[in-house]
Amino acid sequence: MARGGCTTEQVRLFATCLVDAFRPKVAIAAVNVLERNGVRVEFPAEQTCCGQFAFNAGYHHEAAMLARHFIEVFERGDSDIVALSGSCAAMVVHDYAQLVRDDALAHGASEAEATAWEHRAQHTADRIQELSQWLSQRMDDSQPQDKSTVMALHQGCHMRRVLKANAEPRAVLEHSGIDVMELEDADQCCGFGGTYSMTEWPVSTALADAKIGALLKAQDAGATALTSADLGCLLHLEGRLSRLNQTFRVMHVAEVLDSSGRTPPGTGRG
Amino acid sequence: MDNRNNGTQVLVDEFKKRWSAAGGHIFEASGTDALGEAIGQAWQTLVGPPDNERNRSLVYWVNEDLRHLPWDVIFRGVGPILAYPWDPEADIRALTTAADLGMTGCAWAVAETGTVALAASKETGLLPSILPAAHLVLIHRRQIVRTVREGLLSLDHGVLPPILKLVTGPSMTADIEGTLVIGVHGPAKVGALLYDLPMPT
Amino acid sequence: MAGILPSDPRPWPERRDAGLGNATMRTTIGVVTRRFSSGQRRVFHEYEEAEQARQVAVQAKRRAVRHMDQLIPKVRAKIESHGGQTYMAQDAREAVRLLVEIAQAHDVQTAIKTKSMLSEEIALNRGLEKAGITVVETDLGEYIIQRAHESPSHILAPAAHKNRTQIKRLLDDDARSVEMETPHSEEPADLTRFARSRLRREFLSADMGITGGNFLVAETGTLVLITNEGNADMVTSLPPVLVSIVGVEKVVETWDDLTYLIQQPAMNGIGQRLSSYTTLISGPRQPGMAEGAAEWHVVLVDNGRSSLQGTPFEDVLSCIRCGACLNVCPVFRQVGGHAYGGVYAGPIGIVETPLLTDLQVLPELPSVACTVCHACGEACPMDIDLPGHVLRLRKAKVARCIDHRSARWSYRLWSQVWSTSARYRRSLRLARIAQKLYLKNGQLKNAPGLAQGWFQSRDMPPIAPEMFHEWWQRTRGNAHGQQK
Repeated sequence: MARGGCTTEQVRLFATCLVDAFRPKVAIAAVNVLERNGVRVEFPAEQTCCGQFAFNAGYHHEAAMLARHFIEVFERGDSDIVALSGSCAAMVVHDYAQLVRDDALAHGASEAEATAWEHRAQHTADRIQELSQWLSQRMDDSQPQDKSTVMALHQGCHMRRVLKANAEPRAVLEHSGIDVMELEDADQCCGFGGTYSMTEWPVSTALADAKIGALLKAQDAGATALTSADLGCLLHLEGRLSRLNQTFRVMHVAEVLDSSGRTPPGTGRG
Repeated sequence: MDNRNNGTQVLVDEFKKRWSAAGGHIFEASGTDALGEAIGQAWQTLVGPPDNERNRSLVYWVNEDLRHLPWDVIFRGVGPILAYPWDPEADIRALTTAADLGMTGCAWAVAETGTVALAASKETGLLPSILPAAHLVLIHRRQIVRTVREGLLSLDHGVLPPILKLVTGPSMTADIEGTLVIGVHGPAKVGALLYDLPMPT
Repeated sequence: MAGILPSDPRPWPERRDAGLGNATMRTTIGVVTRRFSSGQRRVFHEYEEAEQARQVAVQAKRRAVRHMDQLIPKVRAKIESHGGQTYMAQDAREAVRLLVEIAQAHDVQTAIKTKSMLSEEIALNRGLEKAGITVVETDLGEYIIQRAHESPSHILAPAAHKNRTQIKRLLDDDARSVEMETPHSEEPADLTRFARSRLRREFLSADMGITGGNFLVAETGTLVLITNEGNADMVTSLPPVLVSIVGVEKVVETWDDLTYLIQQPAMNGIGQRLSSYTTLISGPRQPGMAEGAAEWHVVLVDNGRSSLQGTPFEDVLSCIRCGACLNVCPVFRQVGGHAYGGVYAGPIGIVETPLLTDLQVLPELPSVACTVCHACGEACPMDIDLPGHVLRLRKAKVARCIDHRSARWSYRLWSQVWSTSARYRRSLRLARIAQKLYLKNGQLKNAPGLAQGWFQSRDMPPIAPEMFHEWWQRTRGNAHGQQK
């Protein structure tokens, strides 16, 4: 089923701070899925956080400190960087180059130095992909035997609109035998928004409740779990469900892929 | 049939589809002899049957190609209607406000959007298209262009009329609870009468 | 020069909570915004050439706002050559003064008006009423909220926060005040029928008409007005004097540009190819005509707009007020228009209001009313970089110290700690010990500092007994994980 299963492709894993601290089993699941496909996984141990929390709040110098650290950790080597969050990957792809350039110039660096940072950021950005993006490019075209597990998919906004990776999570999930159900109002933000969930919790919560309303409808229609490529959204929704004393299984895409009997992609290059 | 006619038919069909989709009514007349009957149908649809309590009335003007027709006779055929030709000198505002139907020609029409364009001048007033509760616009089939852009570019924009208006369907609103209601300030019923004339020999 | 814009004196939390607590508003706004935004998607899907036309339209608007300085004298000269009169107002106060002067010069008692966001921006009605002139709003939604002395809650659906019962009560009062029969029922059709006859009186007797403008074409001196109700036709063709107030950013260069722009508000705002009425005014009535105003005055208003020229925010001036960004905004759908506290709500409002006033008015908006979901950026037909501007404004606020000192210290400390992995790991280990204070039934129930907001309504799993980097270290050691 896997294409070229004997080749040894290598990736560097970016776990993200949320996964590292709050749900390590997501990263363990990702390692399992990748290694099961013969992919050699490297975990650059110096990694911390992409800095998006600070960036979105307007603290660009603070974000740039984390961005530079990220670049220093990940710029060495040419293997792909697999991120366990669409939003963090979007930050690196979409915002890093401008961020480190502007911050360098704002802090007295020369044009040449700023441009050098910009190029280093771009070099890193060119190599990063979110897990399902990376896997979907290596999927063979076999169809799963059984698609009886129904799950609702929440597509994070940055995954959807910045990375424009709309089809990928669904594709890898379906390839692994999951019947993916679209939530009502699927394109509406769940309200997480990084620190927005803390500073503007009333609006953030109202949006979570709207999403949970859609989720309960999906549950009635047969969905057994909620999945997403972004842990931030999932923690926000799961935390809200917990506070409302409701139980609904919430799983990161990596966990779903790991636990589905079928390993999805092959590892053929290209 | 030459290509031009085929082209016209495509535009006419598209116009009819779009005008109806926007909530407008379509009437058709082939040749001037059929006009009276089509206007009669339009009157029935847009205004309704005769009213014994009071006289029904309309204010009208038509495109130049129809001006020679015996309009008094045509309207008499429709029913007991008081028909006032557009005349800016008369007390036209009061007559138009009281009219049951405004009937006008148009400058051009647009297939792709189901739109008619009316240009204000001494002879071609806009009030009949806005004050009465119903508006009937007479369109020669060859006046239909494909796009709004084509229509706008067909005007000599060095000398635009003081008021040009594009009508696309009846007056409507969704301002109360998002519920669509037809007929706010302008007409609730709009009809387009498509006609053609024999080609000059 | 900064503009002058009105704002609600209530602080954001109060405005927000009023919105969140208004179930009627949230239901109606939910219905209206979803209908409009799905309409926008449908019309572009069904109409092949629409996307190409939109792109040409974007370029036309970009060019126009860049060359506003040359286009304004051009359009004024053109309108005047057709017999109209033009004025330039630098700010809101000057604009209101000009309108009052025009009205007083013609002994105007009553003026009828079409919907105009600019008139809200300059608080025109209040200014005219202070001068003893009665202003009657003729857009149905505007007419309703004028009776309630409120401001619009949505660009295209100003009364979307009111239900039929509330509206019936307002119209009943108005009917009695002019000795008319009250609406037959609270059905929208009956309420609308009442408004038709009620406002018909005003149309036929008003001394002056006031309009805004969707576009003003420099080449031809043409003002374009777009409505679905037909009120702009009444206002422009019946009263003897017509005054149009138009933002300077509404000027476009050529008639050809207009041909691409003219359908954009309807397609993107309500999902129609064209609104019911598009009215193009190119001059006052000519001799012998029975309609149109004998005098046409055009007041161009800057009010902070030209200060955006040449800045990264210049594209904001190409807004065509279609409302597409409001319709897709998750925050707008929850809190409604009034929570924004200004004239312009939704994504464009949170960017434009602070920008037009040099961050003096409602500077909190970019921070409090956006989850950075990018839906607005995707929906905007003029390709305005709304999400980017929100982030740029947040950055500008930090640079100008319009932020909370405590937040500033939190971010500074946090970024310093997390920019090395040793400190990152140590901070998480410390947090793992400290979190025991807040654990209940396996879930975190509270936390100090910025995170407190989270726990107002949500739980959180604790930091794991074995974090991923610890797991990796334990299971893989230095096999191929360590960089050094």
